Order: sequence, then C-alpha cells, then structure tokens
Amino acid sequence: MDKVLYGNIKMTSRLLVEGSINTIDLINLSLKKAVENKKYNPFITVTQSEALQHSEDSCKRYISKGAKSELDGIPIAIKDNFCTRNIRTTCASKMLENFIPTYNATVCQRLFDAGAVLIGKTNLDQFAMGSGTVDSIYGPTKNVWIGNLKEGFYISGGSSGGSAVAVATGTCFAAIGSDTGGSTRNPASYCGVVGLKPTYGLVSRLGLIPLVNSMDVPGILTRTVDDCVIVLNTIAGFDPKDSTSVNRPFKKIRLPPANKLSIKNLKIGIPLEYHCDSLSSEVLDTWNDIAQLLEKEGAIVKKVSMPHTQYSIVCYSILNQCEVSSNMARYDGIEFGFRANEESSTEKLYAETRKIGFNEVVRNRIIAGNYFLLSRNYDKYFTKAMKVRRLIANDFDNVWNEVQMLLTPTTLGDAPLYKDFISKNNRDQCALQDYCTQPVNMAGVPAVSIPIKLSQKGLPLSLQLIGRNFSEPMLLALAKYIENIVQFPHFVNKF
Amino acid sequence: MAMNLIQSFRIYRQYYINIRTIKRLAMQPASINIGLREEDPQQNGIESKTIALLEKLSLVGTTSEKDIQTLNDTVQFANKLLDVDVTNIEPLITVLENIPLNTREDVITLENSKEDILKNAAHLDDGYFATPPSILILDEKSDM
Repeated sequence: MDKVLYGNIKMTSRLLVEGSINTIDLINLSLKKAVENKKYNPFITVTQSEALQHSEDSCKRYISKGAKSELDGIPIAIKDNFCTRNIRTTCASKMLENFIPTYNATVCQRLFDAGAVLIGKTNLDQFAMGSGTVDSIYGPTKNVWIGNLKEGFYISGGSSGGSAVAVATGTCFAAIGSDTGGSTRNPASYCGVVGLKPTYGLVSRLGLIPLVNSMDVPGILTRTVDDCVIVLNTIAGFDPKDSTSVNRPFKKIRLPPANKLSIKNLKIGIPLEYHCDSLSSEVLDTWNDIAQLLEKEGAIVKKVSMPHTQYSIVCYSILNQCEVSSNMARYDGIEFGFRANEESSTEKLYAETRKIGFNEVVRNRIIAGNYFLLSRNYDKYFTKAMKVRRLIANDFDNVWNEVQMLLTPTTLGDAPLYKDFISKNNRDQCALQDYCTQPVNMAGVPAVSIPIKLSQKGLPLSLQLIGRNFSEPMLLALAKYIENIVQFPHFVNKF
Repeated sequence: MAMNLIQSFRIYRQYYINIRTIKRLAMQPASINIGLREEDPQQNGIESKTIALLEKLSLVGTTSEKDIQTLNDTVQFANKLLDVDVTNIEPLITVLENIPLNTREDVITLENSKEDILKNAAHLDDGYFATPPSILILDEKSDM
C-alpha cells in the first residue's frame, strides 16, 4: 500500500478519481512515513491535524466527483520560510520560533486552493542562509542516501534540505523550497530529486520571508519533471500583491510524453568557465557524457564563454550581505518575534533581542552588509557589485545569441560528509557550493537541476539546465527528455 | 596603476581556453582559483572605531574576536571585485528594470484586522506596540 506514495502525481490522482484509493488513507500513509523518516529530520512542524482535516474535505470532493485539480488530496511539504496561516513559521530561528502568521503565502494559498494537503513545514538553514541545512536551531537535516555510517551522515544540501528529503523519502510528492543562490537546486542535486528555480517574477514572493529581495524565488522539488510541471502550473502567474511579480499571462505548460520529445537542432551551450578546479572528476565525466549524448541525439552542442563567472560568487556575496542587513532590520522584537528581557533602553532591547534571536551566520552577514553600506564603502563595494552584476547578466544575454539553453553542473561534487562540510565556515562553504548555481540568481533566469546517476560512493550526481527568461516550457521539456534517457535510480525505487 | 595592470593580467592569465579541443567535448579545466585573493600588503584589518560603528548600526550584540576575524575575511574576499573593469557600466538594481512597475487604483482593500496585526507581539501596552521608556544611545564604550 506504501507504494502509492512512490508514484507520480498524475497516476495517484487517477487512482483517487477511480476510487481505488481514498485521500484519507493516502494522507495517513504520508503521515506515517513522516514519522518513519524522523531520523533524517526533514520537518520542523508536522501538521497532523490540519492534514487529516483537509484529507477528509478532499475525500468528500472525490466522492461527489468534484475534485479541484490533479493536486487534490496530494501530500506536499513547504519550507518553513513561507507563511502559513495559523501554522507556526520559524525560519529555523529563535527569532521566529513562536511566530504564527495570519495569512498564507500566495504560493501556499494557490496550492491549498488546488486541494493539495500540507503534511508539514520543512527544515532549512536559519533564514535560508546556508547551503547545507546544518544551521538550524532544530538540528541538521540528513541525506537519505547511505545511512548508518561510522563517520556520520552526508548533508542534504541547503538551504531547502528538509523539502528535498521530504520528497526523496516518498513522504510527499512535491515540496516548495526557496532559491536565492541555489537553495532549491543544491539540495535537489545532493538528494537526487528534480529542483526548479523559476524565472524571477514568474512566481509570487508574497509570504516568502525575504532574504535577498532582488534574487529570491520560490522553488519546486519533485521526483519527476512531470510532477514539477503540475506544481508550477498551479503556483505560477501574476500576483498583484507582489510588486516584483511580472504582469504577463502565464500559459500552463503541457509537455508531450517523453518518447514524443525531439531535441534535433536544439542549440545547447557548455560554458567553459563552469569547469573550475574544485569540480569533481565524477561530475565532469557526467557533464561530458550527457553533452555527448545530447549531440548524438541531434542537438547542436557547443562551447560558450561567460567571462565574468569567476566574479559571480564574490558579487553575489556582497549583494546578499547588503540586502540581508536591510531585510533583517525588521526583527526588533516589538511587533512580532522573539523579544529579549531587556527594558533599560530601546537600543539595548533591539541588540539583545537580535543577539539571541539570530545565529552567528545571520549576525555576521548583517555586520558585513552594514560594512559595505557605510558611506565610505558604498560605491567601492555595493555600487561596484551592482555593476558587476550587470556584467554577469550580460554574459547570459550574450550566450542566448548563440544557444537556447546551457548545460552545467549543479554542485561541484556529490554530497559531502557533515563533518567535512562544517570544517569550513559558512561563507567559504557557500563560495564552493553555490559556484554553479548563484550566477543564475544574479541574472534572474530559470534553471533546473536533474539527477543523472549515482556516484561511486552511491550518492546522487546531478546536472543543471539554464534557459532564458520565461523559457520554462523548453527547459522542462529538455529536462524530461534527459530524465527519460538516464532513468535515475530514485531512492524510493529501493522499496 | 602598474600594480593594477599586473594583477589584472595575472587574473586573466589564470584561465585559458584550449581552442584545439572545440570539437572534443572533454574540456581542459578553466583553472579558476576560487580561494582567497593573495594578501594585499596594505590591508591591516578593520579599525576598532569602525567595528564600534558597525555594532551600533547592526544592533546584534557585541562582536567577538571571531566575529571580527570573520568580517576581515569577508572583506578580503570581497576585495576580489576591486580589479574588475566596470567602465561605462550602469548598476543593475533589479532584473525587472525594463518592465514598468505595476500600479493599482488607490482604493482601500482592507484585509487586515487590528487583532491579526497585534497577534504576534510579545508585549503590548493597552493595545499598542511598546518599547522601553528610554532611548539610551549606545556609546562606543558601553558594553552589552
């Protein structure tokens, strides 16, 4: 009976319509799985009573043949930096440990309106700052691949590690993450699931607790590309409540079956600069193999150059810290969030509240951001970084004159061991982990990570496809094409 | 000036593209060093006066030795950008710069209730948000 959780959304939806299974049983299975997989620590909050209530509502709808959509009754997970009404939303921090939003983020509302059932809020690096899901007050999230190691566990990647694990284990069919510098694609890569970063402005950010306003987007994690398309079709599109939401009509994506897809004469670029020293030979080989495979199948594969790639991580780092120092200013303990017991003065209250409420990573980014924003430094660092950002965005604009999509690695290797990961500080670690992912956020373009095969150790190896703005249909079509050929051995296939 | 040119040259020499392998897809690594930039001899670390100012601006409590070291490393890392030529380049503030900002009619769409707005405050004074009575500005020497 468990097996139904390991399928895809379309199949499961059909079973629900036919009445072969009912929503209440499905959700109970999912909740049971959530308990079984507690050892990986993917959830901060499991919304048991809400899930059961919604499963009953969904069941009634199916009985009266009034299912809202393919997602009706389907168990999903949402990263704990998206506001969910009456369900605590913590950002894995002491600051918001007891914060209970009074509204749903637009992404959440659209999923609930489609009938999807929330199983829980997933773990993340505090305030989405990190690439390991290790900096959370609720402890790290562990990778599901290769457990019971003497040396400890492999990281799930981050910052949307909890969402990736919820999907990889089969607890949920889909999960929402966020992506500012790779936070959806990185854990997707390490956990062997599909991770989509949509075009900036395509999906509403209303209710997504902001990290970097000019780069944040909601992300989607699923086991298959088709499932990703179903979720994207549900959440994408203009939202008048988000001023950075693009007012253009969104046409739902319909992908043909994989065997009907053709890549003949599709121009695919291989950006040379993404091949850096630290790239593992296994990822390089995988990258090469897929490039050659695509060429064999009729695509035109050529090398392209994106000369400012090497500056991207530094530029991202500066812009990130500057925006963070501004975004985090709202946390003063007065209107919401943790409030320290310090009544001698307002400034002392703020300082004490924020010292306790934020972890070291967050505090250090705020300090760094304020340094770069000092009048004496503003032009030298912040304005300079914004100019370099244009150079990076121009690199992307220029390649679209030559090719339609790019094929690159997602992460530089397979998942590292926790003890090795924490041996570097957060910033150095991000510089390495985010190398191939953050240039995409700088330019705002869409990208998807797809699992290709397992490494020698037995951990997932993934590759990334990048397209021009609003090219999600083509991007996901190519992703589906590759997915069909490589037949990645999903974690749930073991059962 | 000469120093900048040499440094620029060094950076660009650091990676090379093997044109002969254009047909073969197996590439030579673009040998990019993503580690820390070489020590700039003029860099002495950030002055304690600046640290105190940053504490006051950030309001995240006192900075430890470790925090100061982290900040110095961060700045050193950021200095890699200083050599990039941005002549005639405008800052990119938002990737949506070519799309006009959406506006709406100036009508009230009241969805918030007072109760919702006050609901998450740890402390209220007669239905008002409240701060401590005195605003004592932290001076450089005050210790938190």
